[in-house]
Order: sequence, then C-alpha cells, then structure tokens
Amino acid sequence: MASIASRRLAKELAEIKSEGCPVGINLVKADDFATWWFTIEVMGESLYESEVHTLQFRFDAQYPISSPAVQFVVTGGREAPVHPHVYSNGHICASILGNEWSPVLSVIAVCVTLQSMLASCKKKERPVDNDRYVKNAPENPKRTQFEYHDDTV
Amino acid sequence: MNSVKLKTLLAQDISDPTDFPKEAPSLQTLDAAVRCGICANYFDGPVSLLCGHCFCSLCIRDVISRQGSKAVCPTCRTNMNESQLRPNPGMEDVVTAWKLARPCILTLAKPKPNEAASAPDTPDRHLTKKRKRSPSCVPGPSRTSSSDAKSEVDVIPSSDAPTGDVPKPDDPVACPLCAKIVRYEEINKHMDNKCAPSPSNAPPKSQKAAWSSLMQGPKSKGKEKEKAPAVDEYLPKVSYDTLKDKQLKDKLAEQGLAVTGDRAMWTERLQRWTMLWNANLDKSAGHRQSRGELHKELKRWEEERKNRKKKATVDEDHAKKQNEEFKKLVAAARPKKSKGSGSAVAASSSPPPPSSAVQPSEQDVIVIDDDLEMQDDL
Repeated sequence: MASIASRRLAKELAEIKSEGCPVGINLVKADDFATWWFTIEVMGESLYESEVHTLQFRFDAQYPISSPAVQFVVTGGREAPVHPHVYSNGHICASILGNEWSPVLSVIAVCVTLQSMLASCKKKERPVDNDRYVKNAPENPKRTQFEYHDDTV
Repeated sequence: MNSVKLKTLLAQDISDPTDFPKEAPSLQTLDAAVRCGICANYFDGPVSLLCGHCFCSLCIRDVISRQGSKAVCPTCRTNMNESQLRPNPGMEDVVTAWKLARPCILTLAKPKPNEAASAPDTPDRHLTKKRKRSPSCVPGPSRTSSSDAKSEVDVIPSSDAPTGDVPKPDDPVACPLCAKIVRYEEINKHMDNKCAPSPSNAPPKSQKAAWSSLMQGPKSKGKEKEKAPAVDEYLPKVSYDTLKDKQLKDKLAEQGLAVTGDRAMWTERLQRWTMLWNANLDKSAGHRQSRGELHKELKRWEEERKNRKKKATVDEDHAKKQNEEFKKLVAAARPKKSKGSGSAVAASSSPPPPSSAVQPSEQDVIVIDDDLEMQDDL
C-alpha cells in the first residue's frame, strides 16, 4: 500500500491538516487516496463573489508523475463556475492540469492556481465550444486533448 | 464523520516537515529542503540536473521515461535529458546526517512549550546529554543499517574510546571511507583497494559461485567477463523495438530477469530494471541496494502494474459501453445537419451523453441558447 502515490498524498494531507488550507480553500473530504474534494471560493472583489464551488481531484497510481484529474463537481446542486475555461460539465481547460503539469506541483498548488484563474476573470461566459465539448466529453478530463491558447485569463 | 477516516489515513507513520512545531519554521524549511519535490521523501540517490535542481534518481528517471525527448525539469521547466543526471553525493551526505539528527532535534524542538511547566529539574543537562548521544537514538527512519554502523564507528574514537573494545576479525565494521560494511580483518585490504566492491561480506570464492549460480549461464567464462564490470556500470539505453524476440529474451536472461508474459511486458520489465539499476548506481557505494533487493523491488513494481492493468481493462469496458451511446448520439445528430434550423433545438434537448453525468437542467437552457446564437450568426 505504501506506493509512491499514496505516500506522497499522505504527506500532502498531513500538511493540509497541520497547516490548514490557503484562504478560500477548504478540504471537504479525503477518505482515501483516490478522490479528494475541496471547496473553492474567490476572496475579495471578483465576478465570483460569494460563490462557492467544489473541486474534485482524482489520483491514479502514477501520481505525482502524472497529473491528477481535476474538475468542478456539477452534481448534487453543485455547479461549475461560469468561466471561459470551465465547461458546464465541470471540466477545466488549464495547461497546468495537462501538458504543463509538473510533479513538484501539489493539490494545494492546483487549488490556488484555479482560484486565481477565477479571480482574474473579466467576463463571465462559457467556453465558445462548450455545447460541442460537453456532448462528447470523456468522463475523465485527462482524456481530453485540450488546446491551450489563451494566457490572459 | 470523515475525520475518522482522515485520521486512519494520517495514522501511517510517515515523516513530514510539519512534524516540527510551528514555532520552528526554519526546521520545517530545513526538513523540506532535503526532500525530493516529486516523492516528498528524503532524497534517495539524489541527482542534479544541468539547471541545478535536485531529485531522487529514480523519481527523475521516471519523469524522463514518461516525457521522453520533451522532458523538462519539474521545478523550472528547462529542457533536460538523462545524460545530464549527475549524482549529488554532497546532498546524500546531508540527508544521511539529517536522518540521524532528526529524531534528536525533534525531541529537542517539541518539549519547548512544556519547559516552563516541567519542574526546573535540570532540563539543560537533559539536552546536552541527548546531544552527545545523538547517534544512538536513531530508531526509525534511518534506512540502511550501514549508516547506523557508520555512526557508531564515528563515535567510538571521539568519546572515551574503550581500548578493550577492539572488534574481532569476523565483526562487521563500516569502512571509514565509503561506509560499506566490511569484515574487520578485511578492512585494510578493502581500503587499500580504494573501496573496490570486491569482497564485502562473502569471501571471494563463494561470491564467484553465487554469481554463476545467479546467472546459470552455460558459457561461464564469457558471462563472467561480462558480469564483472557490470557490477557498477550503467546499463545503456536500448531501442527495444529494433530487437528481435530472441535478443530481448537474451537481454532479460543476462540481467537474471523472468521471461514470463508477452513482448510488451519484457520491454517494460527491462526498461524498469534499467531504471532501477542505474538509479541504484547514482547512490554512493554505502547506500546501494544489492542485486537481490533490486529484484524484489522490480517484483513489487510488477505487482502494482498488474493491479493497474486490471483497472484499465475495467475502464475500457466502460468506454465500450459509452461508445454505443455515442453512436446513438452521432446517429441522432446526423439528420440535424441535413434538416437545418428547426431540428437543432430538438437535438440539443436530446439526452446528454452519459459521460457528463447528471446535468442540471439549467445547462440545457444554455445549450439551446448557444445553438440559437450560432444560427443567428449564420
């Protein structure tokens, strides 16, 4: 059981437990080393004031060499934020979750990145191809070949 | 409610920078600084890249094998490749020393808040005592027995140096140069040979016998010649695709690996073995694992991989099921194109693909809006 993935996740969890999460991020559940949930909230002035969204992390055995599958939870009354890089099924188009993932990143680092992605948003809208994508999207966002083109948001 | 499960997850004895109290952030920083950014463990066979960043040899080799020619440093994203890896023995020494010192520093750092509460019963003497004894309070994390033994040897002369305590010829002692465990009667020879890995624990004859029995090679002479330098030589990168089955099998046999499974498995096994072997060589002599230990590690990896494969096949089944649904959807979408305007709305209100799970109805509204907008554009 003491695989590299679970050992590393245990360490991240220990740190979250003892240090706490950054402001606006809260651990909802981490019952195993397969799926973790966090709530994420943009602090301060932004388009997403007083919105709380839930992020789901799924880890495979190759974590942290391979990236976690990260998406917003859109079930049970939870919704994905309206953002040009977030599809309505919760999938996120962010290079850091795809080809720019680095094993030195961590769960908390991803949360903070997504938080700032929301915070810097200028206009609340869905991605242009939302409809097309959502219809055929794979269950796991890691299976999608996103094209990263927009560095502004 | 979930806190119970959380606790069980955290109950595993895994050391972490946060073991140190918050009042000593510098100790946390120090503990984090000697850990690999990939596995979050203490550097195991640390290697540096051209950019200067340091990782466990096995960790970074794993990254390289996954990223191939496009590999970049996980920390700074500068390009890198396997040939850049340079062992970092300095860091290795730091890690060894820190592992020894950590439990003591931890006990020194922790009771601080109690100091006032506890009776003034000579806390100072306590501390100094512990410090002196430092190498002996090495319970857990020190991985190799050799490091333990090394510290003992280090300590004996520096303390009272009891003269009657000379080791017997058969006693294992750590070489003061390379920290390798050598029998006392052989220590001088070992050091004269510049710490060559020759006769370590076993006498030379039986070692030879062990090698040949391990290899079970019929052409004992040629094989032995091949093996002798292989003890501390890196395995070269091989393009396995160009090899024939027979050559692959020979390569496996050469390394004493099993030839079970199919060709893809042989390749993977060889690749992993090469990785383990080369990573092991990045460690300094005293920290290296034996061939047998590496074999065990390879076995563990294969078991894990098997489990992974099982899961993957389940995933494929799932994809197959979805595929049929997709086909239905594609079929439903096709006429929409030919018919044009009116049916587009109908198509978008058709059931969403099962992959996107349960969608709030609000999204359907958005979807329809999008389609209408698109039609407006047309």
